[in-house]
Amino acid sequence: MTTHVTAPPHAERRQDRSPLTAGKAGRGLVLAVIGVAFLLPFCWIVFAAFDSQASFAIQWPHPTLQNFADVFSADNRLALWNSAYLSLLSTLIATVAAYLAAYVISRKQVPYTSAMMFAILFLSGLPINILVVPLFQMYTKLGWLSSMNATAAFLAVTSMPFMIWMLKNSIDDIPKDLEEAAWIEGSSLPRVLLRVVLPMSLPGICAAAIYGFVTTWGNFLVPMVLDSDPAHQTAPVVVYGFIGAAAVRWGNIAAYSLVYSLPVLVLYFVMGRITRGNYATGGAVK
Amino acid sequence: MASVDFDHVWKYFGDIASVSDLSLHIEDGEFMVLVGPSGCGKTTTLRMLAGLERASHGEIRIDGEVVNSLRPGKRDIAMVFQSYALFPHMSVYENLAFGPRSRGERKKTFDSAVRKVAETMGLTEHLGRRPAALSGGQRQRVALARALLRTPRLFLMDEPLSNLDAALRLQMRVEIAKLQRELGVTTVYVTHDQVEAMTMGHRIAIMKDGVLQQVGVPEEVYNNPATSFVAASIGTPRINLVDGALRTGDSGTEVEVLGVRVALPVERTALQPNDTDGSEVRVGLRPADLQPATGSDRGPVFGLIVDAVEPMGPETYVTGHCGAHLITARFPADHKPAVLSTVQVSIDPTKVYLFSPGSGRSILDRSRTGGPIAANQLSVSSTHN
Repeated sequence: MTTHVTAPPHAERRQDRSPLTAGKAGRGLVLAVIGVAFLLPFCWIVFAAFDSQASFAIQWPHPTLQNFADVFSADNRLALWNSAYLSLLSTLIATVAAYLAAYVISRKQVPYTSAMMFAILFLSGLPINILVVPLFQMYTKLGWLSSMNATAAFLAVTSMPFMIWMLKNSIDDIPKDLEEAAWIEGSSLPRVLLRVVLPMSLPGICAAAIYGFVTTWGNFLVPMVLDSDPAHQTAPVVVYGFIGAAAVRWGNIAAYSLVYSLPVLVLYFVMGRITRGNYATGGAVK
Repeated sequence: MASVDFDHVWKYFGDIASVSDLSLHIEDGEFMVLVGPSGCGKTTTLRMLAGLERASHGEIRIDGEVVNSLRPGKRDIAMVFQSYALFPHMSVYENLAFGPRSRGERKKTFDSAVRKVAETMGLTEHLGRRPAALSGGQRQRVALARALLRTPRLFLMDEPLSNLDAALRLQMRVEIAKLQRELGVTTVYVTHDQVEAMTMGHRIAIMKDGVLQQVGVPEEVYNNPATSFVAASIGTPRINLVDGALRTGDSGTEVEVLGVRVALPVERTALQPNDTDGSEVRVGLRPADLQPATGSDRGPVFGLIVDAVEPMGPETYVTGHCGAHLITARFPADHKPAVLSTVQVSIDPTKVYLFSPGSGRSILDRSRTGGPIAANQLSVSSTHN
């Protein structure tokens, strides 16, 4: 051991670099093509948003902030707020309901659990579009049209099946001993759910909530059909409005899309920060 | 503090009986150890007592009160889990305070109790840490401290030491036994480790396949095992169980084993009329009762071809074979025979165990004062098969 001289770390790293082969170059090329294919629409959005003469083509912008000024008009700001309200409310409803459902399915001996879970999975694959017409009739009868809360409730229902799956898996991972220890200490069910299961399934809850938020935030058809009140217009409907019969307002579409995608990005970062490592099961059970 | 009764308790999981017809009385203040291999029903028994599983049939009583349908939190018990079951998102302090908070106590009332138990268990400087930042032994102490925070009617412990290293396990064994003695709280302790069972319990209950095999103080279970399974479960190294046959000899009944005949003390046999010459039996010989022959031995001597010699310090384990039988003997430390040599080993005739080859039940009464054990022992057992 004493005679062995280890190479400095950077020398080893240099040795790791193997020569460029045809296979490697080919792989790199394929990846580059895929990367560019994903990147191009983003480039268009960013360039067109700042372009006074934007079109569907990617071109170097004629710099302007007018597109953003248009986008932040009072009506459009309201639409963003409506989207936020609808998405937050539907996410809240869906997350609470899915969490409770997932807990019951995960912990209680429910007959035919796996059959039920597959039924739920199939439901999550059901296209919303085929539900819209009967749903419209139902909402008309109930007098729920033009109610944002009723719309949020339906959107919550559509994202719930998949959220139940996500949450069930995350609750399954929590050792049962922890709950049992809480039962023995005299905890009530709400206390076990809030103080033991909830903190430990927080990463799963965040992931499910993001999924619920994004599906509602991006939903165009349901809010448009169920809520025709102009004061309840959502952001995707506004983007649709930029496509006129005479002209398509490309710059506005791009600028609005940019603003519209921000909350989702922010959500990912915030949730990522909340869930990072803090609540892993380290040290709970050996 | 409380007494516990299991009254003909059964537990089924689907069609499988995990616990069968368990009847067991645990005295107030007693340290009862349930011991047996995995899947024997000991943990299920403990969980039924905790209220985490419901008994399928029968009654479970704490202090005479039937608790079958009482929720765990209402039973006034404390439990230490094999996995420790500490809440990973809470500090040690919060873990300890979780119970009092669940019961609606105010911080003013439980704070001093938490700090005191933390001090007793040597956890004061770790109160602010999360379980992930603690060593295995410290986590185990937190789990124990959580149980010790109040004086419940019952302590339930589910293999609390199985995740610790050997040295720490020994230390905690002593500490838990000491704490139990000081507090006097009735304790039910589950383990698969027979050394823990023997050293910690006032009485031990040995289970196999959901059936209680024997209950008794450690010495009684060791000296007078009811079945070959109990004999094999208790004692290190494991008892040697070899096939033998009953013979009628000059001095009465004898057992032929390992090529020699051992005369059985008449007053201690509980043999039936059909246990005649030639009946097959399982013969149990504890390693400690097999000693190197001196020439003036009380019993017969057989030759053992040595396969392995394990010096343990105060004694030496010698493993070898005699015919097709593998035999372990516990020799004094200064006896270290060479491997492949033949040593002469003497059998103490007063310490021979006989079991029915079918049911495994003891057919030799080993209690020195008692008469023959339960009549029809053999015939009753054989109807079981």
